[in-house]
Amino acid sequence: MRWASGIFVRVGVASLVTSVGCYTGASNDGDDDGNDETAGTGAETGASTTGEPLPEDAEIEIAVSGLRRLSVVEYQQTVADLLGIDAEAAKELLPIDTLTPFDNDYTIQIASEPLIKGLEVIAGDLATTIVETAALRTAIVPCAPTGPDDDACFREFITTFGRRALRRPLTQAEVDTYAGLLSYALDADDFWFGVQAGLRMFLQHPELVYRVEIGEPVPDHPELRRLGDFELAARLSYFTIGSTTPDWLLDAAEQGMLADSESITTVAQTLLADDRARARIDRFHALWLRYEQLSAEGIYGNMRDESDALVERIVFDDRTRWTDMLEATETWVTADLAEHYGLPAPNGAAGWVPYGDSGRMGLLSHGSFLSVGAKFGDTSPTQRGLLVRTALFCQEIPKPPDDLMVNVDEPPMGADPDACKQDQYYMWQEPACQTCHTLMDPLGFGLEAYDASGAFRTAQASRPECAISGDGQFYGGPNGDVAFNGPAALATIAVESGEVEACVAKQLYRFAVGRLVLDEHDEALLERLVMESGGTGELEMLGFIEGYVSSDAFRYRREEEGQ
Amino acid sequence: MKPTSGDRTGRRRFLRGVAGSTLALPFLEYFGPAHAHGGAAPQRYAFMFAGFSIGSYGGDRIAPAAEGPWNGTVTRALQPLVDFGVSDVVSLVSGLEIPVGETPPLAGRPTPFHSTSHQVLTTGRTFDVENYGALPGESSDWVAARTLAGKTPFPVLTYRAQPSFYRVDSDGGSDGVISARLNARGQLEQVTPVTSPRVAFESLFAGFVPPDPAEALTATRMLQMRKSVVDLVADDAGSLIARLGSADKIRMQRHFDELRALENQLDAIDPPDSAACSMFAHPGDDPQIGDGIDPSGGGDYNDYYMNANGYSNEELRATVMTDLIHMAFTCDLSRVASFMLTYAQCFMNMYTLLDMPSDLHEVTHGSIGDNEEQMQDALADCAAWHVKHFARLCSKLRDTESLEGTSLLDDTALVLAFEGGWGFDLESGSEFSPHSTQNMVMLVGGGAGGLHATPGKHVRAQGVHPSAVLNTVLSAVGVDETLGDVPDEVDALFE
Repeated sequence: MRWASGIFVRVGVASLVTSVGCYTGASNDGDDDGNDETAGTGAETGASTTGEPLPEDAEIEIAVSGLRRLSVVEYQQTVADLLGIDAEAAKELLPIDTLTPFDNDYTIQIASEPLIKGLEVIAGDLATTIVETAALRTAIVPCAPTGPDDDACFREFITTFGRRALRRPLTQAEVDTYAGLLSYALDADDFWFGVQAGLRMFLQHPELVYRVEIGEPVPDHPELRRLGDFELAARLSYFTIGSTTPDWLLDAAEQGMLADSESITTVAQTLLADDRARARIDRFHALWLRYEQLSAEGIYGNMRDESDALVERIVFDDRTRWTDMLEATETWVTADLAEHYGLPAPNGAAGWVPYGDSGRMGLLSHGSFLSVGAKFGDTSPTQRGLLVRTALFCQEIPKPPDDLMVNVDEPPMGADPDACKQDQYYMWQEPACQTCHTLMDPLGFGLEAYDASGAFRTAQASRPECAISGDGQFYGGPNGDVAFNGPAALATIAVESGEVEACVAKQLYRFAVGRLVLDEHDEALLERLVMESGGTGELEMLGFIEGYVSSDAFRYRREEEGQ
Repeated sequence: MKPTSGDRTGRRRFLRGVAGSTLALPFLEYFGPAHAHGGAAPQRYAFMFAGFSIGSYGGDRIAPAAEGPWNGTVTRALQPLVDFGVSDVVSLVSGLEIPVGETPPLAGRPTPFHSTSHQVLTTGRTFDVENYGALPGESSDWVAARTLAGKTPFPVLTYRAQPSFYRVDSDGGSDGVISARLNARGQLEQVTPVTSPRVAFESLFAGFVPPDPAEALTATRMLQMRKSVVDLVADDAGSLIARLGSADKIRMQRHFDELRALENQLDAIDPPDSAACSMFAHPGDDPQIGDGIDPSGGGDYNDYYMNANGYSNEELRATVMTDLIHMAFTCDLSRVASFMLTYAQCFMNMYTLLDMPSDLHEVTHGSIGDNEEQMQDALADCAAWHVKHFARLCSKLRDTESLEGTSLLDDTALVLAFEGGWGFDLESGSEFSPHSTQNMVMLVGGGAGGLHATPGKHVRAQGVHPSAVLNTVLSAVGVDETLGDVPDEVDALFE
């Protein structure tokens, strides 16, 4: 057993029992027969590290975590991985997640009637499909039942599937309780009716639907808890692949193989090599930069593929610094998309083509990014500027004060209602509006030569006499006020500012912890992780992830205030 | 009273209570005394909502210039009342107003129009700027349920026909919620509506079994299994609560409460002996949810909306949900309904419904039509689509016989509220804007408590708070409470 850095593990008898998988459960009813007969959810004790001292410098970095329901996409992926079937219906039957821009902020999740009823309907549909399909049910039930009263086989199903579904071994009491569902098999004279009941139960279980992190108390730190191995494994899985703990990782957790940062890093690297990790990081970018809700059809679908390809190349294939995503000199396009952009056609149906002297460069040139921030039937320089400032630079720009008499539903209009669009966006020159709009509107005008579908233009669509120069200004940057034209120039400004890496890290961290609002503990950890993963100009995303999961802080949680 | 063996062919029977099973105790305070069939007729209340502004200023198409009875002639937006033959049992109240101020006045809202009206309208309480967007108190449906729900398995049916906000840059947040209640611990909870017709249907008719004995046995077994499973899940949720920190306890408690509510609904009760109570055909899988609208319009505005999404067959969804509310009232499965036809600040694409290549929000801002007349006609037609579903529900209730031999509508009061009116907008300073809660209108239907003892009419209640209309309707169905900070009623509705 390797010692965790700075943490001494006292291997006591109870811990040894736990580490070899003799799961005891959280609350012992004191029964002298040694069995935990507590019905309901068992505790997660996991690793044999309870009672070990916590390094002083790690304490400040330990983040708050709370009960987090799986997002719709996470639930879809989880049941698909558990059952081996598609669960697309979840998207139609479950309430949509509130976007912050991420879909997993636990502080605002509400358990609602449509959620509970939707889960019940989905569970019924999936359970029915499983038991009615021989190949699927054989994969779920690891034995051949002899009849509706085959208690041993049913218990084997409950035990094996339950471990996978709840992401931890079941207690004996739980197995005994859930095995009672076999009564429905007897009633129906059909073993598989009992299995259907079991599947329905697991697919609605709170420990499947939620990521439950409780942990064990940390001596002298009543606000802190150390995660058990199964909790840690689940945290790793959902962060990296957005799905339930794979079987091999459950085994590793059971064998106490997550006891130190090196082991955890190895696990994370294995998970990050999974295709689901690519989809997870693709989705992170789409949510963060607001293009997740674009249509998947036609040219917009091609744009999404374009951005996914760049993300995966930079983050996974090349593992270069994240800012290379802004400075990429080629892009992955279909023939249609290439024509739309005015770029050379790819070889074959799709492929990488150079930007050449098109004025485009990197992610900010993608139609996906440029499609965001539209309003009033066209691009909105204000909205585009707002997106760049808040998403890419993590700057805060407040809403207009109430006394300014702003009508957000009407396009801005200057003194001359017939003037060209550029002259209608006057707010950045108005004393009452300057403070905020100077940061947004001139920036947005620097992208104005690209319409809301990312196509290049030289004039307003409905007003050919209104030429579009694409000239913009980036005000208030660390390198002063900079004039620019086009997304390539804006990308250069962003990279040279040295501010983007910290923002990227913050956004990824928010996505990881499921909270938009960060506190001093989060900031302390972020500051160190950014520094250690390369700092200004060198942040490499997978390196950042590996640094995060291998930190002491990752293995702990902090209770929310007021506990 | 149980259905007899001489039931009509094809009539669905209710599942009896599962012998020997223990019911989870009702935990919501809305479960009151049992309703005794054959006693006083249960009263019913339905609140419906349309998410856009249409006002009762002169020249629009919803409120006529004159007050008084319709006499068979209604405005363009209200034509469905005549089409469904219910104009004599539906009235329009106009001139309503929610006060506005930089600091929200009592029972008022703050300066920005969007996402600040419906919360006040449905609760009668001052907008809560600290919890921006959330309903600040109990909504009228849950206030009504406290008196009306009895032991019906569904204290309030909470539906929304529009399943998505249809914006690629927003999920709509609080614009999709018009219902809030107090839980058993006295905490205010926002109530998310059911948007899936399939889930709504299967939930409401969970206790129905086919008349064929073999099929009934299978259905009964399935229902028993479902209930047992949910009970197990709820037990585990309850056990988990005990081990969580206090913030997480609150989160899981809400989940537990909803599980117990579902469990109760999986245990059938005996229906009233009404020939009209039956399960209609399953609506099938839900229509696909349409993609969001790209606010850029993608170039040519009209062309975009002719080919864009922003629509999920709300026509079908609204029809199914209306039918569910009707049958729930008929079978006494519920006596209160809250039904959002559309989100507040609705961005639903109106092209498929009404051949208007625009979303409803933009129609409100004049996107359809070349002049003021045409713009107002378009807006009236959008209103008429909402009025159609309201009128249809009124007509179905009117045509359904109650146990007392009258129509269900005689013991029901319904409201259709619109998000905003037309008038002064404090946010922009415009004197004439749809971003206003001046000159708001509401439709009131039904015959409960003396409503429509005289035929339907136009009542002008200039400057009166819209929650006063809700208070009036609540009193008509026997609810001895008023909403929030609004004590008033509109007595003219009883004249």
